[in-house]
Amino acid sequence: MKKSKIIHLVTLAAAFLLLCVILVLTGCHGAKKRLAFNVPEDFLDDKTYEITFWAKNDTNKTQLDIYKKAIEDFESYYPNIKVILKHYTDYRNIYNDVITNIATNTTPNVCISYPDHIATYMTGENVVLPLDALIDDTDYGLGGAKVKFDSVKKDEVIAKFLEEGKIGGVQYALPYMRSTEACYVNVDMVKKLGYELPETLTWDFIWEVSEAAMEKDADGYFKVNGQKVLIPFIYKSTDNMMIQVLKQLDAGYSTPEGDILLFNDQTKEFLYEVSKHAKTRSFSTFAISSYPGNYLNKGQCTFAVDSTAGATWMGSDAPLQDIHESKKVKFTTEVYPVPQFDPENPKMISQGPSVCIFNKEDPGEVLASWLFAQFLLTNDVQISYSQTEGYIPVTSKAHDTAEYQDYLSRAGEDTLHYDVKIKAAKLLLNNIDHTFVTPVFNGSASLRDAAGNLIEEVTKSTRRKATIDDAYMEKLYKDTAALYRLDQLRPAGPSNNEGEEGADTKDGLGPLPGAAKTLIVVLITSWILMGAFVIFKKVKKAGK
Amino acid sequence: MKKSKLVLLALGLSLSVSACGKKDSTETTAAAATTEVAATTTAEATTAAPATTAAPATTAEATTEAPTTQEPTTEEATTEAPVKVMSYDEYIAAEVDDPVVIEAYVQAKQSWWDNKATVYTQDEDGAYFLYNMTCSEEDYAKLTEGTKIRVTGFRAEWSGEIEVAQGATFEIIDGKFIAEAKDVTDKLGTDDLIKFQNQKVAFKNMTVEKANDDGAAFLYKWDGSGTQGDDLYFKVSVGGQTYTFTVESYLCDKNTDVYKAVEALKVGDVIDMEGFLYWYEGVNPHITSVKAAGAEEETTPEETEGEVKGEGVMTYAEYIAAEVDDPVVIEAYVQAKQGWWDNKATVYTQDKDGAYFLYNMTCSEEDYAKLTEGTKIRVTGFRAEWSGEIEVAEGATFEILEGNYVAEAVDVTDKLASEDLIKFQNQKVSFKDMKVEAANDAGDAFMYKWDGSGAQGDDLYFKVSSGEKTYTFTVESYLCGKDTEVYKAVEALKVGDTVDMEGFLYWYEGVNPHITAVTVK
Repeated sequence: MKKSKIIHLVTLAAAFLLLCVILVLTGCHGAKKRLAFNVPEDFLDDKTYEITFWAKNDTNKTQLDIYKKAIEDFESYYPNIKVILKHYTDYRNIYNDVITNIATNTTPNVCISYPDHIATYMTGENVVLPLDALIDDTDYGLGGAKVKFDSVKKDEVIAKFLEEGKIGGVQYALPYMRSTEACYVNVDMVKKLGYELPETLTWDFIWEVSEAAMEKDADGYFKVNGQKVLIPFIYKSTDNMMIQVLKQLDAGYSTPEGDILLFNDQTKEFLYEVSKHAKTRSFSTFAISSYPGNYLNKGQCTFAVDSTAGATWMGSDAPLQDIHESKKVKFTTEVYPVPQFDPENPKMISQGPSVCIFNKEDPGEVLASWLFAQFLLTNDVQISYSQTEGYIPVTSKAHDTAEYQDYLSRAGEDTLHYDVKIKAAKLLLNNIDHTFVTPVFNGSASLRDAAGNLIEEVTKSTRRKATIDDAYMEKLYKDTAALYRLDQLRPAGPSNNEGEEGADTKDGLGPLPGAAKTLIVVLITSWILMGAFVIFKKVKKAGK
Repeated sequence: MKKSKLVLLALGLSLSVSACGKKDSTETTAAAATTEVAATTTAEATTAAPATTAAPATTAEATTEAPTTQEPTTEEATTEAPVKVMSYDEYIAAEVDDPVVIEAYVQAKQSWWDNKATVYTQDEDGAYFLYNMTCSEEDYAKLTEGTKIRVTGFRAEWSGEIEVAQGATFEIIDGKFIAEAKDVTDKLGTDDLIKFQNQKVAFKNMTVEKANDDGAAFLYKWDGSGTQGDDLYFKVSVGGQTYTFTVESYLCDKNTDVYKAVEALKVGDVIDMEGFLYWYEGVNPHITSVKAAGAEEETTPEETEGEVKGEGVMTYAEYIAAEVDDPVVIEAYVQAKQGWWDNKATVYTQDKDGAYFLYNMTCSEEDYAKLTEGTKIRVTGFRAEWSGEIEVAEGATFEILEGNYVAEAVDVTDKLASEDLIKFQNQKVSFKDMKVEAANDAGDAFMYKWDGSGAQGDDLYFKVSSGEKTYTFTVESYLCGKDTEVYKAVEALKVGDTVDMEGFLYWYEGVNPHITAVTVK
């Protein structure tokens, strides 16, 4: 074969490879990326849209009915938008279904979610809709001129709650309902033990009273309740327990970028404290012993910590009960913020459902989704849903209504105004400024699980007579980090800290795939060969 | 002389047993009304010790109560003195109403009612009948065959039956012994027979005789006045002598093999029997097993009651008796798998003695696939209790063993609402002829989630009634998802349907059956 022919072939091969690389890269890019959404100028009233809304209720039929009514009311404003409700009673199921449907491009339009979950949904590009532009849109944004219902204005959404929906400085979620944790106290039991309840519960107080409650009579009955069973202090969500403790101590948990700080000395110190009370059995957890409310209502618990969104299950007269009527005990229930280290500076978790919107090809469909999402912030929906549990509405507009204020003022009148539930709601209303959320990043959900696991494991191990010492703690840290893959965690996703690196940053994309690396090598080699040929040809020509 | 004595004995037996039954119930009522406060307290103490307190400790305390009551002025001395356990000979030699402390092994439980248990126990030397011993329902469940107990009470004698009197207390202690049935066929009619009183005994090659003039092979009640479910009476002969034997319905009810076997007897059958040598004005055997004479043992050792466990493996009784957070090692057979997620498996297992719920046991997906119905496994973990559900706690480990056993569903329809039901916790059970009731005010036959707030795929809740009472049953969606037959069957239910069901007797603040099969009749 002649040299020129070889060179020609090399040139052709290089060109072909280059073309392949371009095609592969652009093709790949086009297949994965969904175009970013731009707010349409007008919403088409004459086009029919069908949008899906995946909602979560707390296994509460009334909440389901409120969703249904909200849809009905919304459709009366927008008859061309049909909202299909799929309802869940478990966040995990929603999460799993969304993850599955991202892969098949069949995500819902509107979805109730936790920000931690949204961070995971965002591992796909343009999957979750950034809401900033929509919120601020003068026509269709919050309080927009063209919105057909009485839309809430941006400044009527409680700023702190709105802020919680930001991930990487971008608004990805609207708050829907907010709750916190409360300590439901059997007041009679505390008094019987000779204690006066302080204005703010402290950890020291809780531990001391709990230990005092463990005294038994000669027959083995607990003196304070005359029963064989008593767990003075039960915590439902041990992840929240650890998170709040660390926040109150100003100790490490994670950075906004996703660096894991959980495994620190203050964590360890608190775990030793937990162990001390697990040993006497004055403390236990939901995972180990069952629902705090069941024990509380049977007169077998002094301090039951659970969500304010579970208030209807707490107390002698709780409208919802899992225990047999014959086992209920009459007592006075008081609702306190979770125990604190510094009563002057209380800190408590902010939690509750948020709403996110999934991007779609049709901007009109996305706009329809947005209109429905913001309808969920209207007064009727906010007030009625909040009344189903110890939730509070997320808008000042709802808070300020006469209807809501009247509701709050009628504690104890009837089941709708169950006093423990209203006390729980007031607890949060009075402490909005003392609430906090943890940083959201891809992996923050695992970190949360790990935080709870530390308490669960120490409690279990202590009860099972393991030696709880530094060697135990060291192993626990190591095992927990491995179990929740925190030792492999890199800040690949965005954080909720404005201005931090987001999903689209270099770090966020991670290392290049092997195929891409190969193509780049081939491309560079081709260009080198082509260059070498040109030089060779010139040298040869000059030589002539 | 001998013959006439035996005939008289048999006749007396028939008459006296019926009297015994009536007297029993009368006495029970009377005794209940006059029960000592101490006994009641003890019962409550034991009953109310589910999660956080040690049942043995409770009963140990209860045990000290009897001597304290007996000698109230020497309380300190009583509590400090070591417990003197009697030998069988000392027990027999004791006077009626003497205090007695014995240690023996449960061989069979006759009944439990109102915190009183009647139990056959035995040691290597002889047998002890414990009549209406103070016992919570929870503790009663722990008294499985072979369980060793220390009993403190008073000696009594009632129409010839030597027993530990009503109101005795007990504690479970380490040890296990299951007595072999002693063949006493050739002792029938002899004075030696009484030495075997209350023991597990066998009778061989006896011929079924007419139970009445009509030629029936058996009677419900001694005179045929009863119905199915009552005591069974039948006559058997050997060496020309005829005896009346009984299947005591509290000891062996109508669902037991022996009850059914006697109902199937024909005059002239030659049979082998086992039972307990109860006494009432003479011998009055309570038969627990009837087989054709010389029949080969059809069951494998694993299939027999009181399954023998491997070294270091707990019996069901020991498992139940263990405290919350105690380490446990059990061997059982997979009956159903409820779910697998993130290397955790939740599994219903069972052996011949009882059931074990394994919650979030550590299990790879590959191993989960190997846990087919009947698979024998050894599980190492910790005992837990969660809203009344006794379980092996999250994180247990297991290994697959040789062996296979698939439990039959036990019909517990007539146990619903009774305190006996908890004995079947987590077992494969069935419910018969129950009527579907409206699940809500709207008249739906079922609901997704307990209040209708769920959707297809969530747990199903439906209501069924038996007699005047209505119960809520569940199809647990992890155990039986929306594509299973039972899920679809419940979705197709109509109010008023009559159904038979099977499932597992899960517990959550009371009974909460997880239904796995529904048949509309």
